[in-house]
Amino acid sequence: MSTTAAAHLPGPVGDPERLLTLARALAGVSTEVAGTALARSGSATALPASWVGPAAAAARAELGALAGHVRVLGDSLAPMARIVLGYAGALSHARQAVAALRIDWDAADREHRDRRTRAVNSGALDPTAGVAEAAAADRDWTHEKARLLARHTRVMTELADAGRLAAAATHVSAGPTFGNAGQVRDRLLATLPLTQDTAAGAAATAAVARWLQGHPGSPGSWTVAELASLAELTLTDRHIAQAFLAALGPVELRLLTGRLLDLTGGRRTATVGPDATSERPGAEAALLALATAYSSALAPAGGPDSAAEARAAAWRSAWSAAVKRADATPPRASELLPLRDIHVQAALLRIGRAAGLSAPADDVLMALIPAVMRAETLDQASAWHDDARTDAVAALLDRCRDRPESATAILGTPLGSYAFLAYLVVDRPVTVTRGPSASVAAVADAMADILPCAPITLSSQVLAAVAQHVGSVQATPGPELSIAQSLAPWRALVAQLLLDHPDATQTVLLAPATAGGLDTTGWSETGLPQLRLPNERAAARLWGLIGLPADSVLPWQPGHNDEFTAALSAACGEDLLAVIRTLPTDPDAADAALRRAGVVIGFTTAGAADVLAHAAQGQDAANSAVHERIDPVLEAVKIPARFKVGVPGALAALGLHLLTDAATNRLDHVAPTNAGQAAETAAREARIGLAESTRALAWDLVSRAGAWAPADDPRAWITLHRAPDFLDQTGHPRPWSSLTMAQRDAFVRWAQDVPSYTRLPSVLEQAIATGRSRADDLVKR
Amino acid sequence: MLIRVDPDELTGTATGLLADRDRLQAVAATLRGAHADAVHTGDSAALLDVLTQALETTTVATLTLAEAADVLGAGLASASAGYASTDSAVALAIGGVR
Repeated sequence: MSTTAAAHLPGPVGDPERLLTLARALAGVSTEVAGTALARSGSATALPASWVGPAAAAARAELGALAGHVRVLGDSLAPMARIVLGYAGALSHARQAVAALRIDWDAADREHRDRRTRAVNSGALDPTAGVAEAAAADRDWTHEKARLLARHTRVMTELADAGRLAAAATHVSAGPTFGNAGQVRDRLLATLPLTQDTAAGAAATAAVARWLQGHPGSPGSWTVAELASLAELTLTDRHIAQAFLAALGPVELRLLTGRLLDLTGGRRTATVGPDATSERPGAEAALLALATAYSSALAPAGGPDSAAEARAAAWRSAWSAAVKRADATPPRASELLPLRDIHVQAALLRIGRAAGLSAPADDVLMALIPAVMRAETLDQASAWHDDARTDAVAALLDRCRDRPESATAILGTPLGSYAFLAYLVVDRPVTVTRGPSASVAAVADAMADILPCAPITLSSQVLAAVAQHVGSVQATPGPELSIAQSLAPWRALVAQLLLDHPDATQTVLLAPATAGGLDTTGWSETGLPQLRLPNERAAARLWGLIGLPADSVLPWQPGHNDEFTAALSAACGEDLLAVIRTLPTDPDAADAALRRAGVVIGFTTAGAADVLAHAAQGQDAANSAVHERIDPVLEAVKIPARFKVGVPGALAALGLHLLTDAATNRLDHVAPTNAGQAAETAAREARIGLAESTRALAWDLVSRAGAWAPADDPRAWITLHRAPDFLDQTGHPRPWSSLTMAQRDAFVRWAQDVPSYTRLPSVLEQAIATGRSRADDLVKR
Repeated sequence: MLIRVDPDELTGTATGLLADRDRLQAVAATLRGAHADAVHTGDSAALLDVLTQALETTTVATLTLAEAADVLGAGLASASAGYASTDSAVALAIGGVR
């Protein structure tokens, strides 16, 4: 082949053999991909069917998505192999065609030269013929070159077309499937969250490691200038933040934070050098960076039931465990002002909150609580105790304020026992006297903010804790505090709680108690409903909220006796009635039962009335708004069915009924006059009504029980005296409230000669007075 | 959620995934090497472009999928080998793979 031919008929520069190698490689990898377990089975079915939960769902979804991608990959590689193979064939064909054209070219070239040679030779004999022959040879050569060039063009065009078709087919086969190379990883990871999270964590660890290489030495010794480069790390990213905290560890974090707190605190110590003032802005920025990392690393990730949150929770759990271990280690000798890990966490929490950062998940905060309860008592002498930034209780209460739904979890720690709440209310005031949130008032204020938005159960728990607190204070040997003194900080909160959730009174004070936690002295006589409160003083404090005269009020009013009677009759129900039916055979048992019931009624209703009187007095300054505030509360008073069963529960229900009743009456007097005066008026009227309503109640109980001797048969008495009939279909006197005046006169005349109708009202009245007196006595102490 | 999982039931899936990871990594290596052959498409610049891009893309995709198979396979293997057989423990194992 001549260089001339090659010059005029250039061949394709590709190498079919290399393309065949490529096609074989693609076919091979396609086969390999198709042979993976993921491509064969989809693999999601390979997971245990019994495995359920967030991790199972996430793994199954990840496997399904991964299997889909692998199949798509295999499906895209096989066509590519065929396409490349086809193009290799086209290239090979083109190369052969061009080679043939070159041969033709060389042949035509030789033919042309031969004809020219012959023309020259013949021109010696016949010059004219020689010239004509040479011209003909040139024409033919020109024509042949044109023909060969055209064929070459056609071959090359066909090859170019084959290339374009192959490109288009390749694009169709593989191009849109994964996008371009710069995007494919992100696009795939977006559908593979577990892998994405792991990859992000690995990348973050590498990034933090690179940053740490530029900052050798202990983090606790980093200068403020060095800490400025924390801005190079994206600490708002969860993975970066976790990698950073993990690299530091709780101990180094404590050393570093402690030094920064020292540099930025109000006090000056030996650890603060002369450059402290100039370093302060940098130290504050570094503290904010640490708080940002703390917030980002420990915040919830994803939905509560998501695998991402499960993984984030696992990291948080590991971190909390590391903090717990670190907290148990003694401080280093270099720590001139030992700072506990709990205080470091508190500082980062509070700084983060002030900067508007997200709070860590509740589980992180709950894990801190044991350390809080331990450290506060131990660290009363610590220099850090007066630094509000390290106040862990304040940090936790802040979180409860910000997220009332977290309050139950945090205050209920550990495991719903509400030990932390009890610590705050009962134990802490005794042992913790220093620090910004040490005062009972500070905790009470926080509770006042939290409880209106928190679940009602939390209000009940707070009431119970306050009651326990009162019991503890009153039982403590030493100078006796008055109830008013010991409970002054809680008064407003408890009053508000009882107004907002009157049913909480029932839950806390009247629900049948377990043996534990009961003070069995005095009140808890056998057969009486047992109070959950540790002692009577706590009960009086909660019910009365005190501050009222001892002979304050009774909670029922003239005109409401029918309701009172009906309520008490219904409340006492069959239990008391059954005892009274034994009157002919065991009159002492009936007396005792009625006396017990009366004492409880008196104690309960007196306390409830005091609560309402206090509330009414509190309204003096805003009488116009009283009804607006109280009416919805009264509407909210509901008596759960379970409390209507049995005498104790029935009496509790009665207490609530009377609470509502008394409140309604008192409010009628409140606006627009003085509430305290209204309460006194109500008290006078109530004393008049007490005798009537108590007598009527006892009468109705005896009537329903039919507790009279055969000689006292009312039917015979009515017939004998030609009196109005006051009996029902069973031959028993109708309820007092349903009788006409004439029937009442006849009933009273008959009953005055029947012993049970004269004795039992007195028993009940005396018992109610006893109960009320006991409540009043407790109130006065 | 504390639903028990028999660790042995996870082993098969983990083994398969780790084998898939190895195969995909080998595929990625082959694809990466195939770039040298792709330039022999001759005068077809269009084909060269698209083929090169496809090979680059599929190489990255294959490596990513191999990484995913590694994460899941290693997580399940770890869970089946040493962790308590609960869903949360498996989540921890998968999340703990680094």
